[in-house]
Amino acid sequence: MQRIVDKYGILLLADEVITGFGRLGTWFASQYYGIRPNLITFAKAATSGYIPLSGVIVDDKIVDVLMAHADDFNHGYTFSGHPVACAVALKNLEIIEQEKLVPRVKEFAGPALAKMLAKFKDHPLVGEVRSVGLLGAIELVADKRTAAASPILAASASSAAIISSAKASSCAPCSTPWSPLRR
Amino acid sequence: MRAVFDTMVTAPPLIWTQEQFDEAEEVIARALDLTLNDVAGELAA
Repeated sequence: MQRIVDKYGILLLADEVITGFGRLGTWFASQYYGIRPNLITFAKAATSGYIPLSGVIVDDKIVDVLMAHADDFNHGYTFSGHPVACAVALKNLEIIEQEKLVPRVKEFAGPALAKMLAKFKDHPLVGEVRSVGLLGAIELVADKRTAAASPILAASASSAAIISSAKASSCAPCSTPWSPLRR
Repeated sequence: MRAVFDTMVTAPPLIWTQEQFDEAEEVIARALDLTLNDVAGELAA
């Protein structure tokens, strides 16, 4: 992909809202996949969700155009650069660095998730399990031999997991909207 | 953990310990078994 966008001068945008700040065992998924986006969107893990913060990272190629056009980098919204959200993000990133959480995902947590998921691959409802870093998926099928998809089963089993974990402990597994690992 | 179409997906905290992976494993196993039990009559033989 990088070769193609380089060849044709296409801007590459990476949505790293879910994958940014260590999720795949690298600071950004772009590093994991060896791509060089011109623009990255981020949110979620920048503050670990303690305070809402989202942002956009752009490279010189984009900044140069903005500067040439308006002699300024105009990108303001009412709450842009909010000091509370930014303070939380800076502290959160400091903790991620101090506790070495990014290499921890690569060396321990990612493999631990993969190992845990692998235990379900022979379950009668499971067509496939897969993961990248700390993103994991269990695909359910109505018929293991034909791998017929079953959205209703997945919804039902996910609900059962939430109810089971709520009963088992006060801390439910983290729930994050996600789809990029689909086949 | 939540459903996206036919798939159960999860993005656990970066700080999870082995103990928490083990706990998740138990919960997921129970959820899959409960679901299998629910739909046992509807699945292909």
